[in-house]
Amino acid sequence: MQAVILFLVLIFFPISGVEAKRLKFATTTSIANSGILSPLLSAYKKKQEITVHAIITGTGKALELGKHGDVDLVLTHAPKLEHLFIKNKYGIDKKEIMFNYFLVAGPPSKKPLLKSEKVVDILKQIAKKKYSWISRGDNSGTHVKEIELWKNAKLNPLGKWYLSSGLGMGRSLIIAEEKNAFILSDRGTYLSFLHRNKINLRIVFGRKDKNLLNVYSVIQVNPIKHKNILYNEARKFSDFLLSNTAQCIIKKFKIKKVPLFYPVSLCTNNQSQGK
Amino acid sequence: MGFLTEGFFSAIYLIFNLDYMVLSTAYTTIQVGFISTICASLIGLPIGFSLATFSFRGKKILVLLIQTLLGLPTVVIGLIVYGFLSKKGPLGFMDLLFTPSAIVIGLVILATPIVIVFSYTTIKTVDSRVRETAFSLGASELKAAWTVICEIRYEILAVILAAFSRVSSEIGIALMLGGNIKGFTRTLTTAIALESTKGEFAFGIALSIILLFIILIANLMSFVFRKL
Repeated sequence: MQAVILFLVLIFFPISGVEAKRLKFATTTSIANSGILSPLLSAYKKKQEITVHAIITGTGKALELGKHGDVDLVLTHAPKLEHLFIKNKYGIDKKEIMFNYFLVAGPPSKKPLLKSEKVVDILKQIAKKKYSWISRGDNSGTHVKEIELWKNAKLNPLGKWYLSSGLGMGRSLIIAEEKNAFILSDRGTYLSFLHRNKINLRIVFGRKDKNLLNVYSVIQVNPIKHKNILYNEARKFSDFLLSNTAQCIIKKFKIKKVPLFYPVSLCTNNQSQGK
Repeated sequence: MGFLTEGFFSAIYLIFNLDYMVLSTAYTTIQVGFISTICASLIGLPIGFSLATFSFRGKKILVLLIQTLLGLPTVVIGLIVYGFLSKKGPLGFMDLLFTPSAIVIGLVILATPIVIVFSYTTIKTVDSRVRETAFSLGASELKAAWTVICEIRYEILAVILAAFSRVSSEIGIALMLGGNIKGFTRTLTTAIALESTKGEFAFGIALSIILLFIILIANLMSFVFRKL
């Protein structure tokens, strides 16, 4: 009998005491899958008393959560959607945190068949040869960028070769691997999958092309729209992401000596933390 | 295929090494599963019992409606509850979204129809004679109900266990209302989904073995209960 009571207390006790204050922060799968989130959050945990709860989802849904006031700030990578988000007064105080470049990856066997100085020409060749292409199709930052690229190439990708997965970056990469298809990916997820031997896709186009720039920004949810938003706490966290400590963590975050992200400001103090 | 065996061995490794993250995830799963099963049973069993015992107008339609609810996709339940718990929703002020309590609310909605339908069908099979005998021995309405329940307590237990298995293996609600927050609302199923998006299939398999292990223990406990 005592055992039963102990069990019930153990089960019910923690649920009654939900923390009074917690910062809710929506971010994208590409950030979570790359692994950069853990060192950033643990560095922040050391400094502050407030708990930060990261909700991992696509950029589109992250902004939607912000729109409803269900999170206090977002870290996303789709400038166009972000612009709309701010224009409609859902978000304020956008800060650019870090960037990298998207890349086009494809099966090693077909890689030599494509060569160009420009990413739009690569896309044109893929469309012309009807090589399989996996699109995220989920309104994520990567998907928005992909649509923009097809537009720049003046193409309307349609047909059996163009497959829309509707899944996150990681799973889409695995589908591309299984189907021998080409795909637009963020560098972080691609490298993390490649180095863990989950995929064998090779970079078809990986130049630092300004068309492929991928900027991650943090935006606070407008407290005027939702009065329960923890504006000051969110401000502290977004300031932290731009601080020297966080920027150094971003700079020093590498997979097999390859940096995944570039911080927006220089990391000046070299003895601060990081691996 | 290789990841299946790899997953099996890493499950054993994780269980015996008491990995903190895995333990807290398993704990959240048991916690929300257990609480929601109890709540769903408290709501569902009396309804199931009433439906099986009393006759009233529109009963058949009611049963039909509840049976239809069995087919409600968990993501839809998640969406509906999200609408209520979101800051913009009517219950937004409670700040329940992305907490274990939010998951429990969704799971209760999922499990209650299961408990109602299965307890209704079970009680219906034994009802008439046992109840009549109880009445003829001078039992009150409540006492007669208790007699019926005692008669089929193991079947009722099986219904509750089925509900528990369902809620602990559910993913849509846990993901949508819990938000898969590490160490807080991450359940075994949402962790499995996350690992598979990372391409860590073996780890996903390991976690699902742990999930099955929990459900196995719950069923074993019912065996012990029967012996008592």
